[in-house]
Formats: sequence, structure tokens, C-alpha cells
Amino acid sequence: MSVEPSKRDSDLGGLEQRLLRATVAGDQAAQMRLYRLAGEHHLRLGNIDQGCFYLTNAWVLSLALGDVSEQELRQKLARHGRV
Amino acid sequence: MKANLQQELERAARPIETATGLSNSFYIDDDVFKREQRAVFFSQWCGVGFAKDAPNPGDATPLTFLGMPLLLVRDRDNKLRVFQNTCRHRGMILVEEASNIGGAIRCPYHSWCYGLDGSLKSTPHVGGPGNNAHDSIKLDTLGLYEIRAEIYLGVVFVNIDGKADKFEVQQSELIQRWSEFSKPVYHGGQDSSFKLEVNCNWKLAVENYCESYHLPWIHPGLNSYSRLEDHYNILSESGHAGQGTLVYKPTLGEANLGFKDFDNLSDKWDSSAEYLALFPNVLLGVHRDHTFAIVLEPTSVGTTLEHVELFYADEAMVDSSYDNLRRDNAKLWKEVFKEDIFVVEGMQRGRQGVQFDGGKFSPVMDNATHCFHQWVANKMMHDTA
Ligand code: FES
Ligand SMILES: [Fe+2]
Repeated sequence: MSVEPSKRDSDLGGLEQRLLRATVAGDQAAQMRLYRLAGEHHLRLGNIDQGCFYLTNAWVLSLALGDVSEQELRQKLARHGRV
Repeated sequence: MKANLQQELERAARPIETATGLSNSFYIDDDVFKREQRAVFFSQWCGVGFAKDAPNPGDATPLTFLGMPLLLVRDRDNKLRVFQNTCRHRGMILVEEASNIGGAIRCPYHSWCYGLDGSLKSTPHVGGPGNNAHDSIKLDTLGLYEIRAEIYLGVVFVNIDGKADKFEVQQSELIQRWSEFSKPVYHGGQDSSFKLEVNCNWKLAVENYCESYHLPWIHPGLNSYSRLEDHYNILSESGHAGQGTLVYKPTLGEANLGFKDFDNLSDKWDSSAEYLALFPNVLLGVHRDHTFAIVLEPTSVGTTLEHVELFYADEAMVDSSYDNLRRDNAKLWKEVFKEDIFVVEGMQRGRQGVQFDGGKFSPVMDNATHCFHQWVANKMMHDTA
């Protein structure tokens, strides 16, 4: 991934830290939300690869959890030809 | 196959008067045990667990049977399915602990996801980071391997190699015989569930269960109301054998109240009960007021784990007002089954005696054991691999 951690962190209010905490806690719903935030953030900045990377993780977790956002996340990825 | 093993199989398959029981190697030899896995278990319908182990939609319960990793899954249509618990990607075990799956089964390694119907739903980053597809990854060819499964009297039967006749065809004689019990059974809960670890080859547990010859000596308590002459043999060439009793008396609690009987039973079942082994490894008992099932899990050539579960005719029997009665009933059976442990373990040790030839059958009292040996011998002889 081409984006440096420092830039990601500053832009997303310590998202890396929150993701790590959610991962350690095994809180998949929180991970899903945070990945989605990160994905959408990078897409807005035009970092398509980075955005799709995070959105993929959000999508997979939404699938595993049976979350209502699953279709929507899938469609976002589909728009970029990623599924 | 070694020539002497072939001869021993042929001897066991003879008519009872001239047959010799399966020889020591069938009880103590690791190579024979390995052959049995394919010839006697994976090619047949064997019991691996219980439907109550995955009671609700989304429940996924892993289990290992003879080394084979399996996953019981209750799908959204309430159908119990069995899959091989192995990811199609790098072969990781998919589900490690029983859990309820909210959406899809996600592999813990690279997060490929499978639906409860086994279909592959997503392959994250499979075409590089953020790319979830690749021309060579065809989702519809990479679903989980589904194992044929049938539920009978609460037991999950599987045919692992997928080649056996349909369960209801193979066991049609039994299903017919017990057609009055072809209805839902209700597991009694925690107090109706126990396991016994026994130091014997699984076949000895089958053999001992099938026969009534030992009742007066091993179960004198049972025999006080269930004399040898009140028992009859049940034999079938389609893969089951056992015994019936003519003097079953239900367990009664305070004020002589018992469990509710199954509906619409014929008079025969007022005082009869039947106990059959479904070859290879499931032991069943039916009574007018309850059934039980034992799945024999061979844990090595010389050790077996017996999973015992009791079931009732009506949901109300699982209610707390029946707690004591259910506990008494489970206790009674546990005592009986425990009385058998020293004989099956003794027979196992007896098979270290190098001069033992497999044993001489009584043509009158040992028909069920012989029927089982013939069945095993035929399967082993027809195993061509
Ligand atoms: S082994 Fe299951 S996703 Fe890789
Ligand atoms: Fe017994």
C-alpha cells in the first residue's frame, strides 16, 4: 500500500489504533465499521486501490456477520470492478 | 490384502455352525483398523453425532470422526447439513468451536467466506489487494464438500464416500420395523447425555450390545424383571441386529407417574422394547416412552468413546417437572451400560492371547454377533482399494 501510516492516522483520527483495539477485542462489528470508514475515506481522496482494500475487509466482515450493509459494500466494490 | 487375513474373513463369513469369530488382528492391529475406516465406515452410513448438536438455524458444530473433520450446519431452512470442515483454499479448518453463524462461514486464514449451503461467497484479495476476483477462481466450482447426511431417531448418519445406497433403502427393513417411532424425538437435555470411555475396539461394544446371552450374568438387576427367555433375537442381512424384550417396564416416579408414551403405538409396545445395532456403529433402543442412541466413536484400534443420548416422545418431557424422572431414567441406563464395561475391556485384553482364534459361536445364542461379523467380513472382502 502506498499510503504512509502517518497520513492515514492523521486523517482518520487514530483509526489504525481503533482498528487494532477492535481486532484484539475480537469485535468484528467494530472492525467492519472502521474498515468501511477507512475505505470510503480513501475513495474520496482518489486512492482507489487503498479504498478498495479496506472496503473488501469491511465487505467480508459484513458477509460473515450477516450485516445489512453487505449488498451496499459489494456494490461499491463492483463499481470499481473488484468483485 | 494379506492371504491369512482373507482366510480369516472367509472363516468369519461362514454359516454360524462352522464360522470362527473375527480374529485378534481385527481388534488390535492398526493396519486392519485403517482398512476398516474405508471399508466399514466411510463407504457405509455411520453415525457421527446428533441433530440436537446444531439445533438452531445458523448453528455450526465441528466434529472429528475417525480423523475426518466434519461440520454440522443447520441452514436457514432448518435443514441439517454436513460439510467437510476444510477450506477449499489452503485446507484450513474452517470452524474450530461450535458457534452460531450470523451470515457466512469465514475461514480464519485468508477469510474466504462460505454460505450455510456451502457455496463460496467471497475470496477477498484473491486477485491482489482490493481485487476480489480472478479469472481462474470460479466461485461456483469451489463450494464446500457436502457429505450425504440423514437423521434417524436423533442421530446424524453420514456416508462419507458418497457411494452407498440411500439410507432409507439400505435400512428399509429397520425403518419399517420401527415405523411407529418415525416421528420427532425430543432430547432430554443435559441430564440425558453422557459419555463413556472404554478401552476396547468399537466392534466389541457392538457385539456385546447385540446379544442377550450375557444378561443373567452381567445385568442381574435388569434380569430380575427381564429373564433370558423373555428376549428374542433380531437379525437382518441389511445391516442391523439386536434383541427385543417382552417385559419392558417404564421408569416411574412419584405417585407412579411416568413419561408420556409415543402416540398411536400398537399393543405390542405395551410391554416390548427393542435394542438394535445399526452397523457399523450406532446402537439404538426404543421403548414406548423413550428412545436412546449411542454413537460409538472409535478413537483408536483399542479405545472407543460412547456418546449416549436419551430422547422422549413429547416436548413436555423436557420440562423441569420431569427433571427427577429423566435423571432416574438416565441413571438406570448409565448403570446398565457401565456394567458392560468390564466385559468389553476384558474381551479386548483377551485378544492379546495369541492362541485365540476369534472364538466359537453358539448357533442359538450368538446369532447377532455372527450376523455382525458376517457383515464386517463382507465389507472388508469387497473393499478393493
Ligand atoms: S485457507 Fe481458507 S481462506 Fe485460505
Ligand atoms: Fe449388556
